[in-house]
Amino acid sequence: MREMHTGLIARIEGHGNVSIVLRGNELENVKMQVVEGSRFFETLIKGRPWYEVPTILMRICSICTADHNLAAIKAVENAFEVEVSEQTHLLRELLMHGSILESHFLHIFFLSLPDLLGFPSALAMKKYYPEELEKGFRLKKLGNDIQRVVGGRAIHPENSKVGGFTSLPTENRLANLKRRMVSAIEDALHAVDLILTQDYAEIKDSWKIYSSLMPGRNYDYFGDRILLGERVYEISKYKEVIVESPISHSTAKRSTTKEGKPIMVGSLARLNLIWDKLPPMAKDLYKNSGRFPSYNPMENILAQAIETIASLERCIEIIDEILSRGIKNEKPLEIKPKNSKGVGAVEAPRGTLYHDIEFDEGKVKACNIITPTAINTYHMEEILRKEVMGMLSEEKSDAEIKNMAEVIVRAYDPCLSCSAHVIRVKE
Amino acid sequence: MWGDFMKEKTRVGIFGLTCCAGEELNITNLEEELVDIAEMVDIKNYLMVQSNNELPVDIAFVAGFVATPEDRKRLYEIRENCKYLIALGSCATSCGGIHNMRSRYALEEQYSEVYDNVKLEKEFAPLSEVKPLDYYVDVDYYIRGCPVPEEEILYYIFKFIRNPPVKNELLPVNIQTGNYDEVRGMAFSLDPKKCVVCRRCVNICQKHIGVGAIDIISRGGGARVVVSTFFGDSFENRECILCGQCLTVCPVGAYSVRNDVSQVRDILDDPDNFVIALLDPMACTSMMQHFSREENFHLFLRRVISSLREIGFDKVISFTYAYHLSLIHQARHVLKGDEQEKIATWCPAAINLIRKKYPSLLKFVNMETEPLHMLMSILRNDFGKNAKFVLITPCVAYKNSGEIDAVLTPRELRHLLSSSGVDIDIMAPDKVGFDRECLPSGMMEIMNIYPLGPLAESLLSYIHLFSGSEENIQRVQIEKGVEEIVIRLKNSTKRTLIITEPRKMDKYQESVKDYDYIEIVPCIGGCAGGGGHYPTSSFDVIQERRSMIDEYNNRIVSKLSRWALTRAYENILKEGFRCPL
Amino acid sequence: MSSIRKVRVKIDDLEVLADPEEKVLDVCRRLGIHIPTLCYNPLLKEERPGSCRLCMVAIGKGEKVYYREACKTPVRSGLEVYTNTPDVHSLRRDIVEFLLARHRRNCWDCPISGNCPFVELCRDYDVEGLTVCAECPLQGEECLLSRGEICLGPLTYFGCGASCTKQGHYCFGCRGLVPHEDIIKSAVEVYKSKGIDLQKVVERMELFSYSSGVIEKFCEIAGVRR
Repeated sequence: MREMHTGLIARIEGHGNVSIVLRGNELENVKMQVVEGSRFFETLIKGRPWYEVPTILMRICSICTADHNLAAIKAVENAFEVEVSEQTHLLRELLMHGSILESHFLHIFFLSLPDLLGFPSALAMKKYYPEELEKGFRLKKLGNDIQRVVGGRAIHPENSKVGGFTSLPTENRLANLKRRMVSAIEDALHAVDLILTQDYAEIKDSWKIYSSLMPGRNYDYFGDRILLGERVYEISKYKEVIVESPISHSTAKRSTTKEGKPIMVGSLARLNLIWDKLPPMAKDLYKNSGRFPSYNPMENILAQAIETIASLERCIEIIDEILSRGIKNEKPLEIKPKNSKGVGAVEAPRGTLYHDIEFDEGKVKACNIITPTAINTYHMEEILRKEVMGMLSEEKSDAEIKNMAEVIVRAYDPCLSCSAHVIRVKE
Repeated sequence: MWGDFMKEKTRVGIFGLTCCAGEELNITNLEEELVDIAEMVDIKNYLMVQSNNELPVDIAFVAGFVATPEDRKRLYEIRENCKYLIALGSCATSCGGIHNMRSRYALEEQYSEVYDNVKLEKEFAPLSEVKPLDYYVDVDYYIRGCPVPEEEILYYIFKFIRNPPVKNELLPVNIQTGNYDEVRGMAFSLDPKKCVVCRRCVNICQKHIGVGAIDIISRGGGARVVVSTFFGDSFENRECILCGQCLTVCPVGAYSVRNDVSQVRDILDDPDNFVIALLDPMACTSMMQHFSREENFHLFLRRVISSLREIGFDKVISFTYAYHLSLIHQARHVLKGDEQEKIATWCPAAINLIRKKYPSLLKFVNMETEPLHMLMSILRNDFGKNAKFVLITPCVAYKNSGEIDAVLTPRELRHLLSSSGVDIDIMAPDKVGFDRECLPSGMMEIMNIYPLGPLAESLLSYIHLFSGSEENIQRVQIEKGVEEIVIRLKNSTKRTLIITEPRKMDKYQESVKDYDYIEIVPCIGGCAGGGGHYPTSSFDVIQERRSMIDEYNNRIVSKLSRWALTRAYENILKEGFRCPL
Repeated sequence: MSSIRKVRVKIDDLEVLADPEEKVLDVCRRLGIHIPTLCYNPLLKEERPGSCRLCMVAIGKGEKVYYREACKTPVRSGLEVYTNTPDVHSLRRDIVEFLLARHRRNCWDCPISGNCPFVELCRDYDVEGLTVCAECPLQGEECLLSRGEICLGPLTYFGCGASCTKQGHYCFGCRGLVPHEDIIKSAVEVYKSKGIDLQKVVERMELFSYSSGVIEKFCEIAGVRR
């Protein structure tokens, strides 16, 4: 029996390792090992007051920091039955889109593109593809700047609190952002073209189980119901959608449907399920690409690129709406804590994120968090298993197998720091 | 390595143990600078961005805390393979940052809640303690923050490329002995305990103003040397003219202005009061410079006006009217050759200077033409007894005036507004602008123009207006801080003297009879360098304020049609402007 | 500038031409080489008291090195100036120590908080003795403590530019608490004077620094228990 390791996979967020165990020439097991140390967020938050919840939980991860922030805020507001103002809703949507743009562009340009073009890192691309690199930086900077203007900071936006925002953007700044967005659409379209011209492996997902939140009118990353394939669930019933169990080889727990099947969440899942809510330009791209609906996890990258176009279009609409109403100097609402439970869910760049928090006398009594990458790890493992078996039967070398494993993992855009702290509340 | 950095590039590695990857992401957020940095140094290890990662490195930036035996092994490996290890971010520098809170509960309890009885493989089983990096290895430098601000990361990376890190130090605090009382004053006070004896205020008062109200004094038994007035007397009781230049140059904030905010709040809260704000546009310049995200001064001023209305001011009037009233009056009298109107009265500190240091020149000063006095005599008449007036100005000398109910400097105005919950940047700009009281409308706009000092420049335009003739103006700089302007009119010649370095007045006090108009400007840069502005000043900052006002003036003038301008000047000529004298 | 005769000097191994009437500080400023100053007043350029000694530079190398203030030292032919050697760095660091030690740190009530030269000096010379209040522009009435919010600014290491307080919410000490007894003492006094409940402060400190010794010290000085 021998074991192959990819070693710590580069160009993903967090630390993970794929371990392939062979008996002779037969595949014995494939393990997706999340080696990121467990950080026990849910137990460490116990006993802290409600107003510290977003501050603590957004430090679960830095790329999706605004998403954890908003999910935590939604959980608290859900538990205390707080209705925020229209302006706060709009600003939160803007913040969310900024986070999507930043995360997707980071993944497309810096984590994936080097693979597609054959470089070890984006920085090494400077000599041969200087324009692409510059575009990547500019677009990522736009995503970051949206978060800076609305949330106060690119990493860990402190402005966004339960009840509203402590500091508001000026009209000037929003107008400047809008100008940049309009010119960014062209750059982002270029990225879509680049990805469309690349070849990548044909992988078939045979289960085809996708999940996402069901949005309102627009392709925004909020929603109050969960879609699992064709079925619809209330957010508070998330435990019927996703079942978790701890495994010994990873600090992230395994998530499956009630029937034990793997689920995929993320850009691909969203496009497969709710493509009809896309704004016009993105919808055209979706239809004209000819690749959708797709059951190949590698198409996740293309899905992300299309989502960036959708986000840019939506951001322009949102800013127009905010400016036409005029910015009002609203302070965060006064909150009266209650003894109750609330679930907050958002569509993070990588998929659906759930925060489930219970309060007692204004302090946290219990907390449960399910992150999208944690949901995806089982799916990842099963796909890896199938592909490795296929490659073994074609007698590929160890190096090729390990490389393929890394490429597949990267396609999911995993955020392993998030996944490694999942816990289950003892019933 | 260092010093020969052109020959061999410094090798840099960026590592993250267990953390949110915030610092690694932070470094990618440097965007274009990252590409430049990648050329200046050799980034050998950066897991998030590149796939070829190796050790050893020269400088290792390590973020995150040690949560598992695997992390600990990696940390030891990094320490052995680097020259300098820099702890980056709160997780590394101060006991794990937020993760430390898990030490409140026993680990077994938490573990079983998360993982039931499934035993994690040994390398990623959690360690029971959360400790900072320096518990395990030697750390050479600490960069703190959660997240570390982007400017700091950039600053430190460039710093360490040039020089190896020198360990952070905590220095002693507050070792001064003795208890030195504050020197209190009506306009401002001085706290000797903050003084570091840099002599800037002493030099300005002695060498620029020529008064020397403060000096280095040894006070108390501890032989500690501080700056103070003689005997600790309050400023206005000694030779001080209250120009406030000491406030603008003090680098450590030892001088603080008398705070009128609660007084103004009381005035506003009383429902019987009719409160009028006299707003000097110059006051808004430093507010915008220091605090605002706004870039257009005119819009900012309008926002300030609407903020004032929001907190309860009933009228907002531009203080520039006062200056124009005084100027118009003085222009007339200078043309007539009136001896009593020779010295300009628009600067209260200059008047204090004459009163305290050159009392023989008082006969050339007509105190009735002091701008605030002129304006108040009109307004008090118009608005009656229950009217309260608040002056918002960058001039500290006005704090000592008895004519007005309260005086606010720009900083105090901001305090008042923000403690009432008003964010100036978000307030919609006022549609009306300044209120137009007591003067007919076309003329209002001209009176809104800020006469940039020396005010003699504006005086020139009025003299031209009243003399009705072509004039020839010649400006001569006699020496540094002294300028002469000769105006040749059809029937007469007028000579004016402008002194921007008051100490030079010593030389010219005898020559007052030779001139028709003399102006002394104690503040460096005119009112743009007033004592009440946000400290501290430099030439760039002062120049920026002047250009903001220039822009503001140009905007008003450009909007006035020629017809309106001519009408306005005609009105002024006809004395229809209600000169109170 | 006298055009008749220029002198050649070397600054940090860079050869430059300078006017014989200039001082070393002026030449460095012209070239963009940063030398810290405090008593030099930009508004009165000729007045150089030379009393703060921050602008010390090294003249010469090796055994024959000596140190002079850049603001008063005139240039002469063949002068070799080094502005940033390790010795100069540590000399200036001592001076910053001296200046800080005689300055009362009441940043929460100081008119120039947010614009204070000590912040820059401490950052350049690796000194950690200031707190977030030194960079926070809210003072007096505007200070969050005056509004009853529990801000950990008086206890936290400076350097972040007070970004959180500038945006209207309290500091929760994410950079770490300064383990200096005098700073903790002043903090306790400020909290008391603004009527803040010290027990709540301890609770807030636990968020980022649960096992820091500072909390113990704070409890000791303030007389509260965890």
